[in-house]
Amino acid sequence: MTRSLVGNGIVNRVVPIIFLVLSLFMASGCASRQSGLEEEGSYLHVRAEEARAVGVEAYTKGNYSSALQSFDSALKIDRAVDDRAKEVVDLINIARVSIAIGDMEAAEAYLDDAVNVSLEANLIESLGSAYATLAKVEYLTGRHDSALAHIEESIEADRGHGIQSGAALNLMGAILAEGGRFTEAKSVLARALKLNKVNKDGLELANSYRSLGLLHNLMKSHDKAIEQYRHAYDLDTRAGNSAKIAVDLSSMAALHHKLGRLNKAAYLLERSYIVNLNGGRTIDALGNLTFLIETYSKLGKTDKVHYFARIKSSLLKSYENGMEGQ
Amino acid sequence: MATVKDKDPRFKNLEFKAGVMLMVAIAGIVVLVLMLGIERDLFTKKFSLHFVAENGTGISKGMPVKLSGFKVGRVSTVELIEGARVRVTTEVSQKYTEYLREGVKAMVTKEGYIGDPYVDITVGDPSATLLTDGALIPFHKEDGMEELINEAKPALTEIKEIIHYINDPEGDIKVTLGNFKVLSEGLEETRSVITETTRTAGGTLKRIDSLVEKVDSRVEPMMDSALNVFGNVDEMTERLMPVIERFDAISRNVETVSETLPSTILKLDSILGDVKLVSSALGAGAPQIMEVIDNTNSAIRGGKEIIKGVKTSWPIRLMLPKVRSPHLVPLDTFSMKQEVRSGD
Repeated sequence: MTRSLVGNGIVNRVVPIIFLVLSLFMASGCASRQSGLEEEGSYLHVRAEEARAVGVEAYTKGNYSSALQSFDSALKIDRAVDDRAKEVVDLINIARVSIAIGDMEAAEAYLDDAVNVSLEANLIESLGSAYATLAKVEYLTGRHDSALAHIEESIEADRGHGIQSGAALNLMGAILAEGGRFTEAKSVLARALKLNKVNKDGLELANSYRSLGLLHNLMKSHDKAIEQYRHAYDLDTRAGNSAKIAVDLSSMAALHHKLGRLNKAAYLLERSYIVNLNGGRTIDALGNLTFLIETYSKLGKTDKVHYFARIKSSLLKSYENGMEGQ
Repeated sequence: MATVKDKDPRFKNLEFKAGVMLMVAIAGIVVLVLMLGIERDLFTKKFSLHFVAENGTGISKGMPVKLSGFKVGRVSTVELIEGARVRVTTEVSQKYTEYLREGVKAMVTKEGYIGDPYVDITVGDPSATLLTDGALIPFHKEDGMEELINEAKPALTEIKEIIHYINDPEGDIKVTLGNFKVLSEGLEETRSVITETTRTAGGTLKRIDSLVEKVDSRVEPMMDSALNVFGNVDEMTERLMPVIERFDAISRNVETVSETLPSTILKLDSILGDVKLVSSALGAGAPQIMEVIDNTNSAIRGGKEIIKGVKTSWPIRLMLPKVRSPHLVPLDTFSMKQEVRSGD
């Protein structure tokens, strides 16, 4: 009988599956009931959570002063209830906003606090994020050695927690590339690219492509670099990130310029200038115009040179007037 | 020739392994069936009770039977019998029979006014004799929300009629109020006329005094004065005529009001009676309405709990999009260093 039942494929497969499914369903129900007790937070925890959510929303919209204010409120509440895990999150958030507004000194101070609290409270996950952010500050301020050391610590801490961060790998790749360690940078960035694709992290995937573009540029593989920036541009236009679109366009323009494709470079620079101007980044738009005038000058298009020189002069004047007004 | 099946060690004792797996699965299903059976009282001894209802509205097979709020059994059959009445058979667990004594009553009620219906068995006299299996018990249908509404309907209709009656311009109340208005206006005018008349009469009396004083000295002037007095009296009489006419009009108005007042008072009595009826009905219904609101709130809370439970159950939770807690803003490794410049 057993043989005949075993021979029957449906019984052999379906019955254990049903049993397994039912067991899992019951077990999951029990687990949910158990965890339900811990889901509700106190009033202050909820308020801190709300402030954090508002901060993240403001950061995403580029409203950094509002983000800073919200994260500061969240930090005060979390410190009032001695919630160290959330306190570290707030500190890292404030540091990341400080980086966005260019206040590296403040960012570093908050990150020191975040690292100390994470080490004392053994908050491994937060430690990884704190080190990664610290590495970014050091990278941006030209301290490549300590940046590399901290990003490695970050990756190590994340590994201990069973997670892999595509952002950390991107940063490591960029640091290695700038340090001239091209082979290692290429390998790390390839891993970052793969991981970000798997995680469907469009933001960091575009950063991977841009870092690879930068690497290929440093390795004098300009066509490959253009290809990478093209991928980044596609992702950034989909995400509608104006500043990054302008960087992609101007980078591609610079690479075409190096390859002697001046007409193509001029076209891309004009696009970059328009994107920057309409995105409210006047200084970047002025940089585009300077490069554009130089390119048209090399092409011998004097009318274009005069035309864009006039635009540049007018834009510079209105920018200076605006600065005086402030 | 040896096949892969013969060579591969994984095929060793395959039939035994498959058999064990199958047995474990069957055992699991049996345990599950047993648990469901226990949950649904399939394996407990039953004790049946019957009752006869005028109609089967709200009664269905499988409906829970409760005793003091505890589920003790289920409705097993609902059948139509003679006289288009409904015979309901309930099956109650044997272990509760000690509470089922002569004097128990069955009623169909609800968990609140909008909850699930169930058969409620009231506890009988503890000293009475125990009921036997298959006993017939009396049935009492409890008033539900519909009954409450039906009870309130006539009262509401009467209120509507009363409002119409009060607002009717040709109705007794409006007419009476109009009459009262006319009466008060007439009284005001009458008051001013009486004041004027009194003033005139005062002047006349003064003149009579002066005449009496002079009566000895002058007869003729006395006659003249007497004529004068008569003239004044005539004048006064003429002035009093409209006053009398107004008094007549007032008395007519008062008469009309007096005629309509008894019927108005009767109607007001009826209105007060209706209002009393409505307020007592509302008073009786207030705790039930509060209960309905409480039950609705409880039902909403329950619904939320169920949704929460379903959302956290496997495999539903796998189908739902993952909600990321907005803890950390992205690191975003983008920097202007990623830009290739012309001089690079």
